[in-house]
Amino acid sequence: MTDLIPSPADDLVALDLWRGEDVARLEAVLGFALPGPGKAVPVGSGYVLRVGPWRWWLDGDGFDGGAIASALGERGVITPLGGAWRRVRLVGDDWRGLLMLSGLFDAEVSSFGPGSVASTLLCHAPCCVHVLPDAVAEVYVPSSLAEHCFAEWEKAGWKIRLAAPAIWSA
Amino acid sequence: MMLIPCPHCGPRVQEEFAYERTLDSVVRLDDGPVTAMSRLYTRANPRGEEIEIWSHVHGCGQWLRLRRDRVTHAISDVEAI
Amino acid sequence: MRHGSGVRAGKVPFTFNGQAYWGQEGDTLAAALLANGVKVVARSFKYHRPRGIMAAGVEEPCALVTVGDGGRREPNTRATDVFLYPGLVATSQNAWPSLSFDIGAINGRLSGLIPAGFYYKTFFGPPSRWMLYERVIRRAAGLGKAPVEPDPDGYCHRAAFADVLIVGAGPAGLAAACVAAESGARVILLEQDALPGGSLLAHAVSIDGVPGAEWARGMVDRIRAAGGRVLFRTTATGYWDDNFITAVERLAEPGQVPSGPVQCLWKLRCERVILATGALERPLVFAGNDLPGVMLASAAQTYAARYGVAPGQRAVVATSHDAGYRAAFALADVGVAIVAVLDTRSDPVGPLVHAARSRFPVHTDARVLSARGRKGVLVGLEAAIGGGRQTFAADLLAMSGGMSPVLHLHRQAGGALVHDPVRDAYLPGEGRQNHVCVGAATGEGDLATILSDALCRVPVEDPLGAAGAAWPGPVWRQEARGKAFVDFQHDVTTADLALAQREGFVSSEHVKRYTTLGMGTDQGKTGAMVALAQMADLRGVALPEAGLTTFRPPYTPVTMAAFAGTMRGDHAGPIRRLPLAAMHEALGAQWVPAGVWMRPRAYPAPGETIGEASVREARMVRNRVGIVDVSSLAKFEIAGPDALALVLAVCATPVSKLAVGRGRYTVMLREDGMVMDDGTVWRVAHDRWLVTSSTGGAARMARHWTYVRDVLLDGARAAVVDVGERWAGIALAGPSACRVLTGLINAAAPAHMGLVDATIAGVPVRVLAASYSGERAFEIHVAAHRVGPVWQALHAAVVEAGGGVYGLDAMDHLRVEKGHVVIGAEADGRTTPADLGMGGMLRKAGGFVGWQGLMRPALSETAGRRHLVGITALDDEPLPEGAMLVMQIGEEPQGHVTTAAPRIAAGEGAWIGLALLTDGVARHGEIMVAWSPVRDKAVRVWVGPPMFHDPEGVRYRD
Repeated sequence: MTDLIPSPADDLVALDLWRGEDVARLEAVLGFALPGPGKAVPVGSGYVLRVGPWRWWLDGDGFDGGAIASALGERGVITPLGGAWRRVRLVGDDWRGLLMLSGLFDAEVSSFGPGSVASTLLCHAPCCVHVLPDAVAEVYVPSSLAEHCFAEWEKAGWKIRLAAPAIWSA
Repeated sequence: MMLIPCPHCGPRVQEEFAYERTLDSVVRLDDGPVTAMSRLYTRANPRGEEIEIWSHVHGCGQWLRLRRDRVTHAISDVEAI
Repeated sequence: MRHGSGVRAGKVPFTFNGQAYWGQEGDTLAAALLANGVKVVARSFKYHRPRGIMAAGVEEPCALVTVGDGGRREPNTRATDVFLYPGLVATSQNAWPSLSFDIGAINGRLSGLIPAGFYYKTFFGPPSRWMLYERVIRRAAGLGKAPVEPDPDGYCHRAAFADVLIVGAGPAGLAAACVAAESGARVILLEQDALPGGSLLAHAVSIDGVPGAEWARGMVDRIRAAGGRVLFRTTATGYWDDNFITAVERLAEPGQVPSGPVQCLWKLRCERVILATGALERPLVFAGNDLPGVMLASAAQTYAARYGVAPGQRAVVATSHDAGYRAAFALADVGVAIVAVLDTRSDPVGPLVHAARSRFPVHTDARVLSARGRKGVLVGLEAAIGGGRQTFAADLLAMSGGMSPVLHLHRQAGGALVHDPVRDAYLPGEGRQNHVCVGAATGEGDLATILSDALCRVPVEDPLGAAGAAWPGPVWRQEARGKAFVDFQHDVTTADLALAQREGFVSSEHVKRYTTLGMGTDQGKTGAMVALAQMADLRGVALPEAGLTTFRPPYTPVTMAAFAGTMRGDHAGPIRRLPLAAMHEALGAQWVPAGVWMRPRAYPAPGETIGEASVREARMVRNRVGIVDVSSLAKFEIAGPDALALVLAVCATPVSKLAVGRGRYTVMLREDGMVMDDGTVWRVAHDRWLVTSSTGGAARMARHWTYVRDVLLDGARAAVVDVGERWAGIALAGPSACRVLTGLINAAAPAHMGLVDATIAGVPVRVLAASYSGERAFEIHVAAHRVGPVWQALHAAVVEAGGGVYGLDAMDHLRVEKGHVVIGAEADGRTTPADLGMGGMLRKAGGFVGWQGLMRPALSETAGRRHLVGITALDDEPLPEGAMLVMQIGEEPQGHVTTAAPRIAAGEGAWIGLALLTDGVARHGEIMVAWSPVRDKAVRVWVGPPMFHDPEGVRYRD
């Protein structure tokens, strides 16, 4: 049980492909992998996360929106999502236990390991959990519910290490 | 409390999903007015298996067709829409 | 110091009814009270008869006490289900002025007037007489008193998943859990007691060379070492679909101050469930079987062997099967004189019986007829032995009518029950979920068999010898005068069952509800089988035909706070905060819940009321300029080759002709043709659309978009991206808005219903020229993480222009004057677009969700529908929102006031509103009354068009 480290996910982008598109071919065109269901891959300093049947999140400042849009052509679209989600890193041995508090999802099974992604409800908030290669977890929380989730987790004994950006004080 | 096997995410708890309606009550955009209202309001409602439409609203967002027994709640088939 | 398998040496102080006592570590409150010679603990529900301690576990029906104080007070706590802690405070219930002298005992004398079902008879006669009965009955009804202070403690919820879940850490459960854990499965073992062992804690056996209790502790260590989770003081309360089990873990005892959450609700999902829930003992039926001093034989055995307590000095053991004899041995070990062992069977054989005969006076063919009390406690009993009768003097009567397997969870899981005539008990039949019952819950009584069935082959030594497997039927019939109880908690006697039969309540469901049998907090755990047998007898049918009632969760009472978990107070539902929340707070916002969001309602200046502030703010917008935070609105980007097709399916207005950079107001319908939501639609690129809709309908709209795309349009090539939180929104409105905007973006402002991309304070923004207020207005979208500097720049600019910030209330006043509808107020799910004056706005060709519903004859006939109208108060009084519209007070309503507001723009009358009125469009000029009898208000109103300001829309043009 230790720390929660929030950081803004300002560069987050949703990449939607149409049902039935040739994913492998698009990977070649785009120059990065589009992982399978429930998976994420590191790309440069960021990650590509599979969050839906035909939707990926590109999280990182190295993705060139314009280039991706041209490469996609008629086969899909990208939409910036910066500002909609807050990313929070769970640092500590018991991050799996934290996800089980007011949770619904099996984060304690060994197969939910590095490279795994799950969209689920945590503390009644729709979230996305990503297990990083070094076996720490990052949780994407809707910006509007970040305060609620942090309060729940702090009540359970976790500490917010950096103050969540007190959004825009006067 | 059911466990619903999402084709994309695997088995997940019912709270992550939202029930929409039975398949036989879907009103298609090109249905005529009489057919449309009949499908909307007249239901078979069998005491047994029925095909239902759910969405994995708090998960991947996938829409699903489920064959579910309305007495035992047993789900015998799931298909992505 | 007492010695027992469950107590340790430490002394624990506690109080009961104000008196101080000492107990030992490991005692339950019941054990400690018995050790201190306290025999009368409560007064019964209806007759206020003195009651003692009948059982040793959660099935206790009589010894209900209130533990703790203040917000921690837990009434109706079973004294057998609370473990001592220093400073425990317990009081008896349902007795006044005191336990020993209770005025309510008069009910016992009046019992002839208040048999089962008497309550229903009070409904005969005039209603006024019933009110009199009610006043008396309500005061007398109930057991404990609920606390009135808020519960100060925290409760949490945890999810856990397992390959195997085992309920019950008795020998069967421990063996199964150990085998599963050591084979590598994810195992969770639940035990409602504080110690493992179950029946082993009262049974002097040794397993694998060590005493049973010690073997149990060793098994727990092995399970944990193999990675299994073992939870004590954790009761499995419900068995739901797909092997989902809820369990409540007590992290502190009732009334005890916890060092973290006081209880945890576990939500467990398992591949396989093993129910090792054991069996509960049945009472015998005889007159006076509720006297303090009469208890279940297994309970007497537990008090002696586990707690080292002698529950009396002179005991009679009355049993109908072998296992009951163990109580005699255990009691003798703590110094109780065994006056007699009465066996209802005529010819019992077996090692246990044989051992008993050599130590105690054993009588066969012997049944207790009645128990006798003095000063409310047992002093003796009369029994029929063979053909004659005999009396015994005793202060303890240990009775056993056989064992009933505990099958509540099995039944909740949809498992079948099979009646076994030999044991005269229900045994578990086929299960419907992936679960199995093991151990005593299957009717198996032999410990060695139970262990070997679980693949735990270890030597078992029972010094007394094994009990016989067959348990002949106990004696159900009562043969002497006096009250013989079947439900001890609700004071239901055998006479009540007979009365129910005579009155025609024959089915078990009817008898249950007529007599309240099994409806107490113990859910009839001890008495249910006894009562069923009686009912079968009365009907002259075999026991299985008497039927059963439904087993419902929870297995034992659960406090409501455990279900709430952390969702209490401010967090009863997750609150959504605006990106600019801190900014608004600093500006003095008064907050209001708007759906799941908190939004600023107004920004009152010092000394201003909210009402005054909202009027000031609205006037500021009408006359100068203002900004309001509209970030919470739903926003969706629909992009792709089929985006237009999707937008056309969802939105009922024309859309195709919108050029890039243009938008319009739109409305979305339900399939039945009613207005579901409204908003604006903008073409931001050739194949990309931005659609806004109401804050409250955001979640519904998000699902609707993908429903239409995936289910109705078979997966159109159109991405639906929820950008509601991606874009923060600030609306800038007022006569000076255009000037303010151009000053900030250094470019021309978009024309009304146009959009441009621009920059404010160096931050990219999208400016949508839409107006909700009726003034020239712009909705400015900014990526939420960059909205701060944009707000600051706008705020500074509007202040300089003589304006400021406004809130939700002001926004509402302004939109009323333009007749703009709000989803939930005017569009309440019963209104079509035509009702709201939008009929002409729809696409004639149809093709949108809802087009068929609108074709229904009743909707296409406009006569008789309620239409949107504007109303102006003729009296100088605010209109009561929600008031009925009538011609005269007392008449049937012809409509209602959907929104009331103060008039902001110039015009006649200070108070206006919008309303829905039958045939409203044809009734402009009529005068009606807005009548609210609940608020005792009636205001005369003039009916007119839903428009109070700038009907031509002149203000939108520069």
